[in-house]
Amino acid sequence: MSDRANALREVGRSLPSIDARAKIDGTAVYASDLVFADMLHAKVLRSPHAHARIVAIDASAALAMPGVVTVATAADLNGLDPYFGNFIRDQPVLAMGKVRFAGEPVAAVAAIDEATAYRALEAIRVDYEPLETLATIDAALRPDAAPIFDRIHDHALPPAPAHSRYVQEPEPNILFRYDFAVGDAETELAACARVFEETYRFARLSHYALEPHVTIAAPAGAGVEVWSNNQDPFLLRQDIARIFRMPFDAVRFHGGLIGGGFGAKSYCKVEPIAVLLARKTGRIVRYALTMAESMTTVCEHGAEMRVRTGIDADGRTVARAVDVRLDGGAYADASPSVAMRIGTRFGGPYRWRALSVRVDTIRTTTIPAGSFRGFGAAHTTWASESQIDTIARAIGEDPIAFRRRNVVAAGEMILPGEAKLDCDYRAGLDVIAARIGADRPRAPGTGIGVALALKSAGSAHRADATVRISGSGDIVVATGVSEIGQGHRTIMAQIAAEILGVPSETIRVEHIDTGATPYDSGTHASCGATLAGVAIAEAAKNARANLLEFAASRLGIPAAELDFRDRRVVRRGEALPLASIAPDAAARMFEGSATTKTPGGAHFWMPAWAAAEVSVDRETGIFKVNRLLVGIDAGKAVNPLNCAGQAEGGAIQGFGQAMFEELGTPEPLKYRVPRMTDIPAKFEALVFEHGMGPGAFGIKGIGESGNLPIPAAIANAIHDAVGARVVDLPITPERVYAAMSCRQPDDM
Amino acid sequence: MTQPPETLRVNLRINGEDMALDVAPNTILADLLRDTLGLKGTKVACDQGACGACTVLLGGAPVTACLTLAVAAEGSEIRTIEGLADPSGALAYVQRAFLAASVPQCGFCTPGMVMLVEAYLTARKSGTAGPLETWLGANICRCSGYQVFRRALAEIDDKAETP
Repeated sequence: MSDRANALREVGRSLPSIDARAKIDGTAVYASDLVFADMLHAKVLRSPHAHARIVAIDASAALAMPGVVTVATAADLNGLDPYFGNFIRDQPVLAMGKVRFAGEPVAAVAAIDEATAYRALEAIRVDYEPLETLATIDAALRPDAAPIFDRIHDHALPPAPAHSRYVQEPEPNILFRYDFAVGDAETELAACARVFEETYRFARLSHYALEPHVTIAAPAGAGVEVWSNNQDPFLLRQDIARIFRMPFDAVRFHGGLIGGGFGAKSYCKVEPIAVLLARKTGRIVRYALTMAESMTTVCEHGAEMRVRTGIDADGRTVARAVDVRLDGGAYADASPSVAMRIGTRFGGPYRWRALSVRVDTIRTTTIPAGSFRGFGAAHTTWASESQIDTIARAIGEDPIAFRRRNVVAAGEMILPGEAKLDCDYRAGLDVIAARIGADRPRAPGTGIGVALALKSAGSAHRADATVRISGSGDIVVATGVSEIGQGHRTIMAQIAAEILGVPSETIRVEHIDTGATPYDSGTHASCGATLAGVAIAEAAKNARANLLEFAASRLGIPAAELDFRDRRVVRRGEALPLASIAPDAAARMFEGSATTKTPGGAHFWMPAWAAAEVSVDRETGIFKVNRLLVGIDAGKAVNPLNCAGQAEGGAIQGFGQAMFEELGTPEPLKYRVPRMTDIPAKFEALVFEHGMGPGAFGIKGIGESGNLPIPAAIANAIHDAVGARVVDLPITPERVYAAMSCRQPDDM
Repeated sequence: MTQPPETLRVNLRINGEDMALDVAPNTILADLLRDTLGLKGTKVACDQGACGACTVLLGGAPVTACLTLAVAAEGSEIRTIEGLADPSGALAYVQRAFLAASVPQCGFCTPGMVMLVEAYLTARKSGTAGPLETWLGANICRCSGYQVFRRALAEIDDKAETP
């Protein structure tokens, strides 16, 4: 293996992204930039109420305005299957009889330009009968709270994962109840030497991707052709076909470069509105959201997590029981899958005799919560790694030594029946502890904290790939994985280039067209490179084999005597241009295809390590992160430069969550994200290569790891500095001050 | 109900080309560039002046095109990302530095960041620039490639005497 690894030429190269030049010179095309002749522009009237009955809608004045082509309302959904949602379909394309969050689409206008569409919105009259606003989990769970829904919805839930069960909509305003149990946590806890209990809160976050959602829909015969920056074109094809009762093949989605997502652009979101208007008008309709509207479309779950953890007299982790309440917002979106991940993974990377987790997803009359980088692992890591640190300090042990002793070893199973751990937490912990100087004495008011994170990657996924070698030697790669900034196109080019022995820069990677591109079940769970990478490696081998078979048959020799190098057929060191072998070769295409499938459950494990050094002003609670380290495991880094960018970018998102991010008013100006001037002066990402990934060349995904451990590492460093524990995110100076004011003597 | 908007004549020099354009008084510079002139390299993200994705140079100074009225640019020289590389396609100094460091992740902030650094280099020549990291604090990269910017710009700080 190591001999082979040493021989790698393209895998392991830090080449700039194949799209970097176009992104730097301004020629890169995003869905936002597409223009079609005579296209109409859509704008949406949004509910000003968090919760209200719609009594009447009068769009006649808007319809009469010059330049307004149509106004769509719930009445236009008659005869359709108008609900969407990842597993539980409860969200209408346009509000039907009721609105359940401020900002919910109520009516949609198509007009000759956006200005006209905006003016038309002002002319639509909607009579609302306001209902009770249920803005918080507590409000929604009050016994007398108004029910946000009065019926159970259609669902397409997968079977519950091992050791778990779920109930959909068990009580009013509870969307989903997930129970996970291994062993008998209560009995084990009762026998523990010490049990620690704390409730941790995770703030609602906004994805704040810079390119807002955009969809362009064009009627195409009985179907529709769509250009969008959604990251799941194949899932969208399914949703649109179902909603509009069209055959699958009548829906064609195009994908291109996407201006960031972080979860906001997965699953069906705004696309059906554009399709509805295109079908109603028979014309091409562009529906581009503002960023404020994108922030109103989906957010990350706020959470309250009550965690009880027991250890034995030797300081070993024994049992944990957790109650989680997730703020799911008004509609299901991806909440069931987030809840299942949270429930299953609350043990983190530690050994347990028993683990029991209940996750209730509560409906509130707020923006629907959906997927966000980490899919619940940011929540579990914040609570778990904060408490692990508290426990170590309470028993007078170094938190790094406590983690080292209790963490699952490489090759060990995390939970019964799961894939074995494919990384070495202790090795990473040693590196990061040494790098941050954990053994050095601290200056007064200065502290060091570490945190570990674990996310399972992959579930039931399928990735197909095609590699084509033309008779003139051009190589084209096609997969259904979206390029959302993670560098997927470059990684795929490098893998194909490695197999075919050509420079990565000479490979063309196609954009997605569901009418032609090989199928992919969605760019999710950090699986793009790992799954599609295997398919591409196989497809490249198959394409080469086809080409060599052809050449061998024309030469009348066995294919085994031939190789393919530098785009030429090689026989015993002699290069034979294809054209010299067969005059008709230039007109031929040698294609290879392959499929990778995973059955469900963890396909690989995504670990992360973090360490922070902080200085805290005891008078005010104001603190500064002097140093931040993050470590990730790429298995084998296809492109170390790209891996570092992913780790650093994730870590800074985690830094924002730690320091100030909390979604209130969904407006870009009112949501604080990290800027260059916020970044710790000393900030470093370590890309480990533990060599145990299941992908081609031992690679594994990394996209959702870097952000996970940062908030807990910072809170742990503050605890180290001043003996005070902040349990709510974000970690504001006010919260640090309050924690210092009420700290217990034995926490010091 | 709505009166057809009057138009105003605005004289601009955009990427070296003089233009006389008749625009509605409420036309936003970002829309003029993107929709009227087809200069799609300038991105509009937050549309509130918070993120700087739409940064262009107005008389050499960086402005958020999403908050600038086209008529307010009357008589000015405007440079956009399309006007940075020379006509042969050779990238400007800052673009080469960004390419070498593989700065873009999603890339949506990149044109605005490129223009911001270009403005910084100009300001630096006149000795009025101040710290580069403070300049970059004006724009947002949500993929948070700030460390990659640092790597790219360490290079610029060392070598970019005559960009």
